[in-house]
Amino acid sequence: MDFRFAPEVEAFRHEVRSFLDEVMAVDAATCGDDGDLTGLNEDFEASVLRQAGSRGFLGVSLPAELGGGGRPSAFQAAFNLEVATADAPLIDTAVTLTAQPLVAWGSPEQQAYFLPKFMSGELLTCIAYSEPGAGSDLGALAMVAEPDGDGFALSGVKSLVTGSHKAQWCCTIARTTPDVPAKNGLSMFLVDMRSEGLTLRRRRTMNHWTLGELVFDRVRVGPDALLGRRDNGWRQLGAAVATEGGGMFHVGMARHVLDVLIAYVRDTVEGGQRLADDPVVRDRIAELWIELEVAERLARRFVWTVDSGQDGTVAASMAKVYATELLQRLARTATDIAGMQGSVYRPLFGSGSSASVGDGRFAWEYLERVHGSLGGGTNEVKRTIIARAGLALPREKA
Amino acid sequence: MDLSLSTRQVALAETVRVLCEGRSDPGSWESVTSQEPGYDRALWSELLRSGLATAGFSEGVGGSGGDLSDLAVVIEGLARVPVPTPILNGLVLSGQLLAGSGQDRSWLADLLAGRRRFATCMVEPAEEPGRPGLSATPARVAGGWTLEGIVGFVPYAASADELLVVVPGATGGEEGAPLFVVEADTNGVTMEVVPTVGGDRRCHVRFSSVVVPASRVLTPTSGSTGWLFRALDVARVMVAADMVGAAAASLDHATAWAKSREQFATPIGSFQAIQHRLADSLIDVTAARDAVYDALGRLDRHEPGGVAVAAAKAFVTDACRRVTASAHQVCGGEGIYADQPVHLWHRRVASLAPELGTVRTDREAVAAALLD
Repeated sequence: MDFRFAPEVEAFRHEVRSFLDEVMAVDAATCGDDGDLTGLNEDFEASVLRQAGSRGFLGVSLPAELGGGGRPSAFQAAFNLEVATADAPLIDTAVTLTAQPLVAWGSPEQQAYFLPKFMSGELLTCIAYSEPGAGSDLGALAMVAEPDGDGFALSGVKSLVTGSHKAQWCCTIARTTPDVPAKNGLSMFLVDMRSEGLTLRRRRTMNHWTLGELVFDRVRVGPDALLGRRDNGWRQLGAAVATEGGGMFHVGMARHVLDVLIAYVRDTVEGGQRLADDPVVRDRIAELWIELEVAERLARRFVWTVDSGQDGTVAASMAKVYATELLQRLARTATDIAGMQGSVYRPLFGSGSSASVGDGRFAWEYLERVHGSLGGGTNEVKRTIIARAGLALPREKA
Repeated sequence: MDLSLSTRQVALAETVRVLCEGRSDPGSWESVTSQEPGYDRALWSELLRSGLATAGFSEGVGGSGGDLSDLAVVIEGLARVPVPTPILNGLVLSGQLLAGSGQDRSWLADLLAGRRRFATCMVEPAEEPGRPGLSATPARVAGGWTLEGIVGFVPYAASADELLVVVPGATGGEEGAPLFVVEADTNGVTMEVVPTVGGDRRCHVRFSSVVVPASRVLTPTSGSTGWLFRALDVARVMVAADMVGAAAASLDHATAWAKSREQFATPIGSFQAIQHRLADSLIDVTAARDAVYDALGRLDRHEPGGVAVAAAKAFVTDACRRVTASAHQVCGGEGIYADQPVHLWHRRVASLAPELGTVRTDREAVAAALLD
């Protein structure tokens, strides 16, 4: 067994890292925005996105016949690992969020319109699947898409939408056929965020940045807004979220935080001894490093599974569960080791307090990592997938 | 990246499975492990004769060839059944030491051919006086050396023909790192079997003025101790591979049980509490196995292995202990009976966890690389 990326993937990764070193030399005073998940303002994000696009980084693993880079998904994984390690605003790109369903289900016209814009970095999208009454339970989705002329009229509320305030397009799901099981009555749509009847309310999260609540009040869309087949949304959405991320972003985030923590314990003297010489600190940091290696191997296993033509659902779920929970353990241990100073908060790319340590990162992490085990399918849902698809355990009786 | 097993590895796993089919009877485990030699001699001979157990040793020295990952597949397979064998200490550690020392090959040839069975008595570093296993000291005498002291917890030592005594503290000196090949029936050698949880016939081996003639002392040339650390690295990963096999089998058993056992008129495997527990076990087994084969890949490519090996062994130990404990929880009351196999995997992991280092010492090795 060989877990190493191929030399050409490593070369690409090096290229991405050099690019990030260059563009992420951030002047926080002019570029920070703590209302956005990236911690950076829209101008800065748009600039980085376009530069990444012009270098051919976005969509490096999308099919070549659709204009993508056509490289194995190991390239995308290497990109994800590096951008997350660098805190770069290149995680929730249109490629990350919406390329999969467009490639799998989009019409030639939709693919021709959207995919080049995804890859040039000129377009941001958001995904609006959850509703106030439907998180893990797709069957409870209440938004409706009623026939309207040759198109549809969408009515309902979508919640927990990342980046909706800056996205130009949104990918969503609604009921097209009532009174049948949800499995047979949902459809996916691509909706212009400027559509009439669509209003956005930004709602602050516990870590200050905002998510969007989208209210659809008879938002009229044409037949070309339908993504994939009508009433096939359940299956399409399942495929879209099954392999979302695959853990590599989380591995990059964890690597960054562990680096900060290691630098902190090496540089901090307490009671006449370096924290790095405290046996308890040493044991816990070694444990985290070992677990980070585990998380990265699980993420690499997902990449290999996909690149060798197998179904990646179980591998992606295992990587996601492990890495998101590792991030939580990492945040807990870091705040534990840093004591009261570790509770001093600083927004990502925001200005800090002299009372903080580790750049105020540990407190931010402690809050931020709560949602990792919720977003993209809760870890409970993922564990159920692992049990059923990975171990063939039976369904629960209704 | 290539995470598939080779054709040879798939074949090895299948051959081990077929060879060992029906060779594990949980009900007779206690009687087998409570008397010498503590394992099935006929099966052990067959494993050597067929070349299964000697995979990873080159044909030139009497092995069946292939790489270390091939040997790990065999070790995993034996742990799955599970059958007790002296493979970890008696073949892997002993064979790697003999091969690595670069000395007289006839010992290694005897070992791999099954003509003589070895048990390695590893003297641990001297910082922990008072614990058994730490006090054997060699001294030079005319025509050879004498050994004095006790080496603890040597698996299957009482039925071995040869004791391979390693004294890492004596390494690096002018004379290199001595390996002493002591015939088990030499005057002054006595054994006491220690009742460990794994039933692997661990012995405290006492050396009372044991004279070892110069012809039985291997003194590797050069002060380098790389061969010793490599032998230990290989042995540690194989210990981890054994734990992975045990954990994987206990997960399979618990999964099968969860599908067939009904309570509240439904298979208990349909309950989320059970599903999530077993999902966590699948993550643990997958991650533990990947840690083992990643570390073996490094060793097979002759890359520095130390930190990867320590990291693998620490994680595998924790993960496999979780998995076998979870299997017990899922298998409920039925699983605690001696005639059920669940405890065999559980105790196997418990016994191997402190072998050649503990989670604590392995993590300290990682910490040293990160923080010093």
